[in-house]
Amino acid sequence: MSLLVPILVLSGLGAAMGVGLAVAAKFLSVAEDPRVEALVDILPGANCGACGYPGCSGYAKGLVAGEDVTLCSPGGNATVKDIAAILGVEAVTVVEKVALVKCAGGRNVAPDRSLYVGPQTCRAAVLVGFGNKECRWGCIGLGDCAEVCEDDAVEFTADGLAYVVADACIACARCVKACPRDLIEMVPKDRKVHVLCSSHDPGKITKNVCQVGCIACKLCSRRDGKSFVIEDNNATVLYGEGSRDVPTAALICTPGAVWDANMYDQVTWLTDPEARVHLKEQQAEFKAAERAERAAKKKKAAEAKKAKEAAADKAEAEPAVGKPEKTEEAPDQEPEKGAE
Amino acid sequence: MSVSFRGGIHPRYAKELASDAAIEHLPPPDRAIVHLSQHIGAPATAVVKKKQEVKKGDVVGEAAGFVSVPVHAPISGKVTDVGLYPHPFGSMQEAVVIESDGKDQWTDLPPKAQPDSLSGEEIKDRIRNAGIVGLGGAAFPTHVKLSPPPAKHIDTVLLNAAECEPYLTADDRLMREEPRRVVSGFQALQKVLGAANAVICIEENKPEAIGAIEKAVSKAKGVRVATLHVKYPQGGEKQLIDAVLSREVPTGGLPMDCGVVVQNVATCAAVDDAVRFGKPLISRVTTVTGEGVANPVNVVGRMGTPVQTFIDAAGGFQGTPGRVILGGPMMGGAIHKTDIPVIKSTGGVLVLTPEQLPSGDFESCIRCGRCVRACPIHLCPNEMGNYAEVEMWEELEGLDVNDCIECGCCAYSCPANRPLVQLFRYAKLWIRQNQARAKTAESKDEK
Repeated sequence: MSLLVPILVLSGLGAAMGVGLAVAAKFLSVAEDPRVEALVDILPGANCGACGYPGCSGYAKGLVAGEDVTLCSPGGNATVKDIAAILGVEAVTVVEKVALVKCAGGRNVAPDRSLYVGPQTCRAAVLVGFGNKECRWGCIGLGDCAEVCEDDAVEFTADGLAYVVADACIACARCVKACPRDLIEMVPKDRKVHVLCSSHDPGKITKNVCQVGCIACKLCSRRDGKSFVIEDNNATVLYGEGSRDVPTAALICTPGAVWDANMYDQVTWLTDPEARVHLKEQQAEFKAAERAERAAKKKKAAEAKKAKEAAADKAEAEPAVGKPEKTEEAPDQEPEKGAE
Repeated sequence: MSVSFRGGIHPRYAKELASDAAIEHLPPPDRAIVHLSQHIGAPATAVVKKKQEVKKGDVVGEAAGFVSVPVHAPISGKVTDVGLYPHPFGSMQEAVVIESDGKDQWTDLPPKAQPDSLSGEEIKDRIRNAGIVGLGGAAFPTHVKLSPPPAKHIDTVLLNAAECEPYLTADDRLMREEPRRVVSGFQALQKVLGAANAVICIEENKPEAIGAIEKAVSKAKGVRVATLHVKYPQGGEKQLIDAVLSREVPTGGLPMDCGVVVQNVATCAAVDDAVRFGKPLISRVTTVTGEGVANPVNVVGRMGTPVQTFIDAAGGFQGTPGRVILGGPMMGGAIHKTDIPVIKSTGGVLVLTPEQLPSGDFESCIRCGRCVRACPIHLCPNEMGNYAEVEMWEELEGLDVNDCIECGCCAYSCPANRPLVQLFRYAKLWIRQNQARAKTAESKDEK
């Protein structure tokens, strides 16, 4: 009996409060746009902040208030479509992006110049004499980018070079801000040809400090000025409209700063010395083929000229014919399918 | 009676290594790499081209703005390159390379003059045109220090002859051997500033220098000598002002905010050359010392001479060098190769042996409080270090990390071997970045 009283009292209290809460929920409720909840459901829920809002629910509210629908980079095109469906606006296609570390200089090819002791972060390391790497633009490899990456998409080679695993990257771009050397760029996911060097030193200096650094020789930009541009001693791939994956770019880049994902996968390219040897062979082959082609063309042109001259000789009365047209640059070829 | 400030440390001074070596002159280098950024502020702009003939003292870089000074050719010869070369601070910076013609010929210098016959403005012009910067280590353009805003009245000028950095003896030797030059330059500075008081502040451990300077100032009016307690960082501007004048430089302020300007010994000697003879600053006294060199020396070397030349002048390395530092052991910076050229602020080349180097491993703070006692700014390095390690920047700002002078007393006294100064520099960088970010966000909002 003595047990029954408190049980009854407490359950009575509980029931009364439950009724109170139910009533409050009914009459004191704040009307919220139902679309917000729907949007939160379809957003990826990574709360990465790439859109500029504190989290997915923040962006959902922003969307209802008329924010741009293409800001969610982890979601990509599918999310844009869903958002557009909920908001009743027209869906636009976005270019899905992925982070890329624009440096291929592990310690095997771009050595350290001194020993660094102290807090093990890149930002702290560059405070001591601008970093302990001989190249003052390259990846230090202490992992400030990996620290901020919540998807463990940043990995390191044995030689202390950071690279982003494209499949794991959700394109939140947090690593872009974390890198004290501004090496990371968001690039379109479907692009295959990249320049993995961010050095703005003159070629003479870059050559001395890194075996795979861009020396700004302009071979790539001369071949396709819409896809490559040389700015401040560094070749940059233009990813915008009108650009393309130049298939021969990797075959003409002397130091091997251009990485063609069609030829070598990322890990092979960054870690396997065999890949470089193989590329050198490919380059030599390509060069020889191009030279042969050019020679053939020249020969052809010379023959044509001769024939024309002969014709001109025959018809003396006629005025001399001008020089034959200048030999065109060899057109781009498909890369030799030798890559594994 | 000697005076001092609260805090500080007593490291092993090791001045005896080089203090008895009289100043020698290094021969001019065959090839000088003259950096255009030898001072705090905007780097000078190159005004010479490849293959141009220059004479010693010709301007090779014009000052780019007010907080900047011109850079002069240290040798006569031909300019062979204007490009990027390794800088003592670790980066690559623009430099003018001059190949010597062996003549070492001066250019046409301004006429000789007596400081008394020149006006304050004329003296200041000569100082600026001679490219003189603070030679104590920070390399702040001297003419800027001599141009206080009209609202700030300067009543005292201090000659910082403490030379509190262990190992270094360049200022000591300069005072012993050429006290008149130092005092004359100092008086020229006093004249420019119109300061009523002038105090020459020397640490007690340099009795010969004190004697020589006292003799030199015996006839000068309004100049007195103050002896200081031997303690690091006695030569820090703020500590010196505190010790000698019992004044405090306000947070984020400059010595001129409390009516004081502080100048260094070598700067005064350079000022004298500029004022009397119109000579630009192309050489300075540098101490080459440490247990890692055979015969420590004090030498006058031209700017742009590679560090290796200095080490050779001291008889080369003794054993395997552990670390080569430009400046003193407390605030100097290590370099990674010895073909780097020296700049105006290089007052010392210190070679340590591998055994003298710290391991670099560090542990957690054990809250012993030694750093708090040592901090000459009266900060709490222990707490600041802990916050910096976990990247709590706002708390660090609250603990006034920005007032840290990076003297290294805390790290020196830490039994857990914590890299406190580096952590604070790291914190300062972050705070600066966050402030800049907040500023840009604000301006965006306004739009």
